[in-house]
Amino acid sequence: MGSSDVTTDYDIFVPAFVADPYGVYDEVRAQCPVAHTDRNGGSWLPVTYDALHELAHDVEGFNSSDILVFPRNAIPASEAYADVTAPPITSDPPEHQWARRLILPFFAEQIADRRANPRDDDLVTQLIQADVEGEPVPDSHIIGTCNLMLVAGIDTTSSSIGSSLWHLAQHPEHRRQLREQPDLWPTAVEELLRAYAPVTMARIVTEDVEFMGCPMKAGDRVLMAFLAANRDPAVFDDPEAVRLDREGNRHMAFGSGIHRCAGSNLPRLELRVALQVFLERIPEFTLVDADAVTWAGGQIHGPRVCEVSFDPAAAVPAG
Amino acid sequence: MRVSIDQELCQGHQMCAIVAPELFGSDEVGNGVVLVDGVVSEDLEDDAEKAAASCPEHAVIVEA
Repeated sequence: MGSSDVTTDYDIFVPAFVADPYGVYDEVRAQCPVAHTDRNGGSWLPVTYDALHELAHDVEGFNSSDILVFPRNAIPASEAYADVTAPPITSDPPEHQWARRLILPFFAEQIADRRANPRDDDLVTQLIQADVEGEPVPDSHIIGTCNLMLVAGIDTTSSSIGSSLWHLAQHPEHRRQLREQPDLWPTAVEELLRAYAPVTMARIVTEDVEFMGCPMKAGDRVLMAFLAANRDPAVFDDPEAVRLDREGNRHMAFGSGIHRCAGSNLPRLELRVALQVFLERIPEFTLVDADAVTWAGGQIHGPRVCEVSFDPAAAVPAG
Repeated sequence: MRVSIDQELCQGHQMCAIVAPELFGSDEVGNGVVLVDGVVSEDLEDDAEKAAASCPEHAVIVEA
């Protein structure tokens, strides 16, 4: 980003940001709680824990279901798709319309099937049979939930697992610590979630508001970089340091408030199992080339190419 | 020392149950519940404080 002022000009897609978003967050935080950019259609970037916390809890002022999954002029045959909404995420229509045209009818078929043949222990069946304040859940909402379930758990957990392995590849002392103190796993998972939170969510401003001194307009997009909140020195002692036994870790990797990640306990389990089994089988491994690691950009942070090497003779067989 | 959970604030992050499993569990929707009738024995006072410090919603209340 050269010599431009990052508080008024940032880009979450450029290589420098993608490789080291923390550096940008720290630079912004040193100057102000919220940055702004006109790039990529414009957005705001709060970087303090307090700002993120306040935003997350103001669901009236900052909307999470404002993006139509199918824009009005591109609605396929079924009316059920017309009102399906989603929070603002990268590659909203028109980028991913073609994928949504494939996926959403698939979900609609599942709903029709479960209506005819209800199943036990089945999410779609439960949604069909549920009611919200006495009213049945509309099909568009069920489809939206299926879509969210799909999107929410793919590159999020893989990013988190990837970041954690990237970290452990470079820190033999942490690998040893986990081996010698297995009771540390729950705390270690939370610390890895804090340090390498994979998700940057977003909101749409509902009406003009002055937020922490920033004049936000209705329709403005606000990034919720939980990564930034998790590295705020006002809340976390020595935030750059990954301390697997860190206490008082009220991180926001899963957000905060009523919209906190509904699946959060599943990725916790996934992360613990993935890392535990990896370390059991491959106790020692290193990065082949730290500079060759590539990272996902935009609203997901995690390695995409990350080569590690290990001595096959030292690996532990399964069983 | 006593602990309680403000259910208006609790969002089911599970941090209290992770940090202090002898003091906190969760109900069927994942929200926190206090075990041991809210009374904290001396050996668990540290854990109670840590649990309060670990809740992103500040929903765990400790009364010394």
